[in-house]
Amino acid sequence: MELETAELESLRNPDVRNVLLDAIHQLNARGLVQSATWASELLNSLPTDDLSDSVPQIDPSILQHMQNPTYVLAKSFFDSRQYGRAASSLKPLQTPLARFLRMYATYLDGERRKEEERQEQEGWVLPVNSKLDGLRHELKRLANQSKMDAHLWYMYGVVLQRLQIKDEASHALQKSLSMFPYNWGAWLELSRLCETRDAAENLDIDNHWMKTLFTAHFLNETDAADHSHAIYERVLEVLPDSLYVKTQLALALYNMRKFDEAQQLYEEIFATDLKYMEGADIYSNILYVKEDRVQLSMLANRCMKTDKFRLQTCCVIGNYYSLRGQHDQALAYFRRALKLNRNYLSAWTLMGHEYMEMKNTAAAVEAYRRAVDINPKDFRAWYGLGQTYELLTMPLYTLYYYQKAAALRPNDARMWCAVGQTLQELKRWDEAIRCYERAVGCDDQEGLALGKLGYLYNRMAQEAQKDGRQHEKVGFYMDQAAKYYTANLAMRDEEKLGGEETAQALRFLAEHWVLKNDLVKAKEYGIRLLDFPGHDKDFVKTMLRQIHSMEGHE
Amino acid sequence: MREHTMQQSPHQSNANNPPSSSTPASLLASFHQKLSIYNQLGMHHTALFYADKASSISPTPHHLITHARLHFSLANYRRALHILQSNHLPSQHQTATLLAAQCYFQLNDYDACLALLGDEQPVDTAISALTLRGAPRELHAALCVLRARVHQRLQNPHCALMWYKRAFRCDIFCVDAFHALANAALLPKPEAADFVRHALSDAPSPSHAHTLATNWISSYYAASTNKHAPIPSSPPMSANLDLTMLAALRSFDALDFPTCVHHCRAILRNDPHENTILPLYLATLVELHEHHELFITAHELVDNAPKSAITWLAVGYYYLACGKPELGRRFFRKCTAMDMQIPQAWIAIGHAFAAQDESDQAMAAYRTAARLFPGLHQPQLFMGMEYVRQGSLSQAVTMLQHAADACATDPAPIHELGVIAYRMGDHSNAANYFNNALRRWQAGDASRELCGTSGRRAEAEEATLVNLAHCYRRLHDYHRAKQCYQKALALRPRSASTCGALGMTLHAMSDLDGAIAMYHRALRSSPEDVNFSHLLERALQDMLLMKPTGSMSLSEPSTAMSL
Repeated sequence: MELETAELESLRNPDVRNVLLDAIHQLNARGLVQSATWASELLNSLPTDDLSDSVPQIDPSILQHMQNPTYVLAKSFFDSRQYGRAASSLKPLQTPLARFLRMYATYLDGERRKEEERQEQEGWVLPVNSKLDGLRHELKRLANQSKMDAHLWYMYGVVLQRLQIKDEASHALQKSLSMFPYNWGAWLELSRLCETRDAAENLDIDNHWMKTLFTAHFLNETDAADHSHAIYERVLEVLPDSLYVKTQLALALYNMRKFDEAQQLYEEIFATDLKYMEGADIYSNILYVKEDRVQLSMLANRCMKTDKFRLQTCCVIGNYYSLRGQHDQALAYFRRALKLNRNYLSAWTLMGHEYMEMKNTAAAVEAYRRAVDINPKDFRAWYGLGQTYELLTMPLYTLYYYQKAAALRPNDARMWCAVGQTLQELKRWDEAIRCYERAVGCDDQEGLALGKLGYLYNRMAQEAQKDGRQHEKVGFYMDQAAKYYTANLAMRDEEKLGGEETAQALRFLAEHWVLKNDLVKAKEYGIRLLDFPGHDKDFVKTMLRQIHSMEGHE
Repeated sequence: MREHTMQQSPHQSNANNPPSSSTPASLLASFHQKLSIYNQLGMHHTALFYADKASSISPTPHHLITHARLHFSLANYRRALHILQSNHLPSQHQTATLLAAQCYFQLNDYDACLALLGDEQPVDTAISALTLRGAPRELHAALCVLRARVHQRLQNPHCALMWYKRAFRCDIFCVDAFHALANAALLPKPEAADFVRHALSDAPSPSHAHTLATNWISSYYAASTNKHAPIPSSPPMSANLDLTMLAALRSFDALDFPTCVHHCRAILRNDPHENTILPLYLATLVELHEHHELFITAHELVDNAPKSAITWLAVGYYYLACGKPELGRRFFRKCTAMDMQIPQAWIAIGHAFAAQDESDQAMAAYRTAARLFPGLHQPQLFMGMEYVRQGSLSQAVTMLQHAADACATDPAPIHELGVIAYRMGDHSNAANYFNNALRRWQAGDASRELCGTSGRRAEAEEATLVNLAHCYRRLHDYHRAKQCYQKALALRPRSASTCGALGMTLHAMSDLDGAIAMYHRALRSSPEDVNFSHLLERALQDMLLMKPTGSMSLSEPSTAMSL
């Protein structure tokens, strides 16, 4: 794929500083603090250029609002989280900026109310933000009257997205971003709405370096982390000091399962800025997978000291407890993370994993479902759902969820093995075989597929033998079985693995070569089979005797 | 008191003439002056004293009538009657006739009232003849309105309607008659609009002094009867009750309840004791589920105006909205007992009975409403719906057809007809009805070009859309069904049943992935629904049976993400 990174060069342009600064003012005036923070960090990582002599100007409309007592009062209410009051005090102002702030405050007021209702209410049905409908109608009316600006389009997009009207939401966000591309929050919303790579690549937005960053972010969420990695490398050339880019790079490495490199990068990031917390949760995942208890506890300590009530901290500590086998403690921390942000994806997934450890399938399903709702591209949650339903012995569901996971990670052998296994349980040998073959093609590191393939081809051969019509296929199946058993055996020998599977392979191969009259090979496998204790030695001995007699005949 | 001032000029000319009796004219004149001043100051007893003296000094009809009117305003109806009758005035003087009839009306003696007024079928041409006789148009209009009122009390709406029409033709400025015609209780709205238009064009051209007033009142009438006509804006009247009420009514008809409540509150802020807006305001509060506001309003009304029927309507609405129909009914009954001319109360009684599954009594209430207010189509609509509940579908169809014919803009009866057709298994016919209803919805929208649709309005249209989609689904027209479901989902995105039904449609179209996604979405909104989980299971099974699924994702890994 040709990476579109040419736009990145414009970041070297000294004008970017002023543009970005203006954008930050625009975002701050509208209460979009997250996006403003993001842009500010980026601004500060831009290469300093003493030559730029233009003095940044503050947009006159912003200044005008700063001098408006109503706006100032409302903004103060907003900043002190009194959203309802902020919204009602903004009613007399009809400027687009004031309108946006009022709607945003209304939306947040609804969210607050929703949270309160959720705390009060038991059961499965989730409360909804009751302000959404009203906001939607007002925005629709404004859109019909062509009174929208970039930020109002963003608001419209968010409202529609929350109402699950995805196409229109995506359209609104694209409108917003083609007018004002510096709203990172809008890009993130859009990324949640793009379900396929095609969708993300065919957005109706002109090329811009922000779009490049979006593409990298999006690819990082899909199975194309390597592309994402390549883009971030380029970005890093322009912005060598940006911690954000470094963190994303590390995330890409994590997604590519290059844990060592990722770890190294994370160490580097955290060494630069001790208070930096982004990505700590991913780093803790890596340490968890590597079972590096010492590093994990150090990381947990550092996070705890920086900010005890941060999402990342809760996640790190949750992982720490999970690694120590204290699942209820781990759950408590993941729950705390979710209290801080209901839409924090990894916490839902990790919570699902914990529930699975505790065999609480109902809760696990619920947690994974939430994760999938937040981001349907999260293969871990789909995989988790599959595992949960496997535990519940509901193979149809299991199959569906594993297939979803495999579709999201088509190059991951683990996914294909899982699908294959479920199909095997459903007695769909044919398809199971194809899935395992695919897993082998994807470099199956766990070596599950080869043995399964041998077993399945053997089984197919037996079936074909019973069914008279398919006689001619028996030979083919047997050969395939032999091929995979041999490969499996070779792999197991290389890794010095013994056990039942090796024995099974040896036994099949010995019998197979007897039938094929290759007595040397048959004998070799037969003798190896004798090393396995507990196996019915009589059977082996009979076979070896038979081989001897056949040799005698020759 | 208009009678009084109207008659003042002839009296003064009388007073200036040499009196027939020996009493000095100046005494009579000063008595009369005192009388009118004290009357204006609201000191009726003092005024009465002088009126009594004046009529004793000079028992002219004018003095006697003034005397009687003062008794009337002190609610001494029998004394007023006695004064008039003992002087044989009602048969000689039309002003006296009116006053006497008003007394009978207040005494609830409707037969006597009618006997006095005369109830002969008027001939249309007689109007000009009447005016030629010299009596003012206003007086004739008042007489006609009174006749109409009596007929209304006697539950004789058709005669009432006729007299109101006549009153309006006598004098187009008679707003009482206009409101009775335009509020749809007696005459369906389009007919009322037609009649008013004709009456206005037939009216004699106004004298020069009244041209502006005639123009203004015509535009007010046009705005009230036709929702597309502009609300009169010149001369500017700041926060005028009737004009704001027009705006409120329009937003109510468009189911835009928040705006309606906004207008109503503006009126009530201006004048907290304004009663005419209350039925509308209360209905809007019910629609918006503002129980709290209803509670407070009802309480204030009980404190301030316990003798007004509307008060008890408010109390009843509150209980009905709180799900206590039995209590609600009691207060609606109280309301109708005080004033049976409030259609909302009768319909609410019907609803209260219906809420308790008392079909027969609900029907009786609706039937009363239909009899008293032949211009309304809602009673028929509700009767039709009640028949549906009882299962007498053919009767329901007749009733709803009547309602649909009576009101050419309300989609509800057509929708209900569609529901019946659907229940009888006639899906294509049902689809026609629902399409028709949708057209009515959209026709209503045309007037509100740029406005977004409000929440309740969207909900109502969504119901029609979903039903239409069900019909298409039953007719195996899955493509259209899918479109309708999707439109409905755009209006109300979280409806579990719509998601499920769309899932079934996609399932039938063999779009298993879409179906599964929709079943999931349905289960998301109502996780314990057995049907949806069963359907999901079926879809997953079909997925397995249909085609080698593993191979599909194998052959096209690049697009597999859309799975």
